[in-house]
Amino acid sequence: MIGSGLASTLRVLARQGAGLTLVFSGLTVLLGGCDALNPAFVSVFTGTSGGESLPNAPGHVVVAFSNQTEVDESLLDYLQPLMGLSNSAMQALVPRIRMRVRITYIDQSFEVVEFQSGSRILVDPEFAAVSAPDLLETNFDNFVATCDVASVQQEPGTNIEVFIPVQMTGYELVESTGTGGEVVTEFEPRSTIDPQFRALGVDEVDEDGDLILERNIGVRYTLSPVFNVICGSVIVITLHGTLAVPFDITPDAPSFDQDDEAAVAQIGGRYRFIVILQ
Amino acid sequence: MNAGNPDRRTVRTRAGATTVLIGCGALGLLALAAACGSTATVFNSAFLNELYGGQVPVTPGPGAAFVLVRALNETDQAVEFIVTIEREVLVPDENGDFQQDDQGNWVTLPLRETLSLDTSATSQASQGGVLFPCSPSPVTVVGLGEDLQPTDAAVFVGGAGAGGAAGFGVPAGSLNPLQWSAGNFDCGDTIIYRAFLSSGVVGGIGLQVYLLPGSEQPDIFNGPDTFVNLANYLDTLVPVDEGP
Repeated sequence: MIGSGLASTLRVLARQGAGLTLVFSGLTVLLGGCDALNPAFVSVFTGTSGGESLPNAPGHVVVAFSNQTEVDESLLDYLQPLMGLSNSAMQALVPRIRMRVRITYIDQSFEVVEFQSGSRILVDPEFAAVSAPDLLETNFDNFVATCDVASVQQEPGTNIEVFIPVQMTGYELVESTGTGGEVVTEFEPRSTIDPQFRALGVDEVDEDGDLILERNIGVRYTLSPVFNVICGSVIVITLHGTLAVPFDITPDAPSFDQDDEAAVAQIGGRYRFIVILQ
Repeated sequence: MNAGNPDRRTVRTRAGATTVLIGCGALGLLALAAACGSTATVFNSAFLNELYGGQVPVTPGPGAAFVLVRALNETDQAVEFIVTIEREVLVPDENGDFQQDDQGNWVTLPLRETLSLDTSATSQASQGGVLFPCSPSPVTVVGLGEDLQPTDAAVFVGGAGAGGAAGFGVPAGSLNPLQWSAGNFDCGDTIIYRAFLSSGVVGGIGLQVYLLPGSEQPDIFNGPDTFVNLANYLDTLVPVDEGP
């Protein structure tokens, strides 16, 4: 039956000259593959691959991270004598930001990219030895994904982090008895936090959206995901904000009341994301 | 049921043949339309771009001042590409002004940047890339391996990604760094590193480098002008000097 059907088909085709032309044209293209029609502007680098060429990329989606943050003036004033930099060099310092982004393709495979951006020297030199390994990595602020991309979002379970360049001391208010027998309350140092990356927290709000606890990022300015990305698009994730540490207890050194939940929650400064797809 | 009626079977066979003919003809038409560059909107633009270009750019140049380094993993294992570039950066003085020598030439120092590009074993996540701006400091060297030495691990194969086991390293060997001064690449070009299975080399992984010159790219695209759009957007931002 199959043989007879095919023979019949071929007889029909033989009677249809125009149809035959179309069929062979189509088959030529299909059997030759996409590369047969490639404009061949992928050329080989001489001497390394022996005359081979690669197919064109279908196009790209660029995911870029733009770090538009700055350092709080009081922190700069504290750091300048320690770092020994000029005023212009201090003003050029940019907080070091680290975050992980998941790029999901339409075949549901995904890539996790860790973006890092900011000054690599922004650290109290006294602590550089212990904090440098994370800090010294090269800036990585863009990733070029091959089409087609389904979504771009913050990697679930990870944080946006900022590098705190100074040691901070946590104080606790304690009561003691003075020499005259009176009760004296004063802050005592209880803990220290060495320079390190610190996770930025999102504000806590109640069910009505009213603020309960202000942290580092407002609920309306988190890193929003992008879906259904058109091939050739550019996604720019811009972070604005100011790196700040508290000088609450001792004005001449970073310090905070470790029992003050609001003060602790705001360590690192205030930030907001803007995500643009074009 | 129709086995005993040869006339009716013939009619059905001819009808089937005609259907096949129409189907093949339509397929041929569509393929021809695509091949000849007509506006065959029935195709995905990414497919059309791969087929004959012109939809979206595949390299930054000549419109955007970037060097694109792409990693292409064809090994069926996760591969981490260690991409290193060098650029000549201007040296500022104490006031933040760029220094010049006695002859008025700008004083520059080579700055090396190393990134790792993770690629998955299969699927679309098996390739990716990164852009290096050519301005204000031109990219002068592009290669694999942290120190651009032949014995450096150019890629790590079979690792677990960021934070996990690194996998085994494959040395750069004869895959020499590309030099801008020697004309190996130019701003706007795409440099493609390909890792593939090869029985003739240590570790069974071969490495190749390809160049896609930006100067050969079409000027007009039907879709978004990816890299020019990025460059234009970055220009609108307040310039940020990230320092050393």
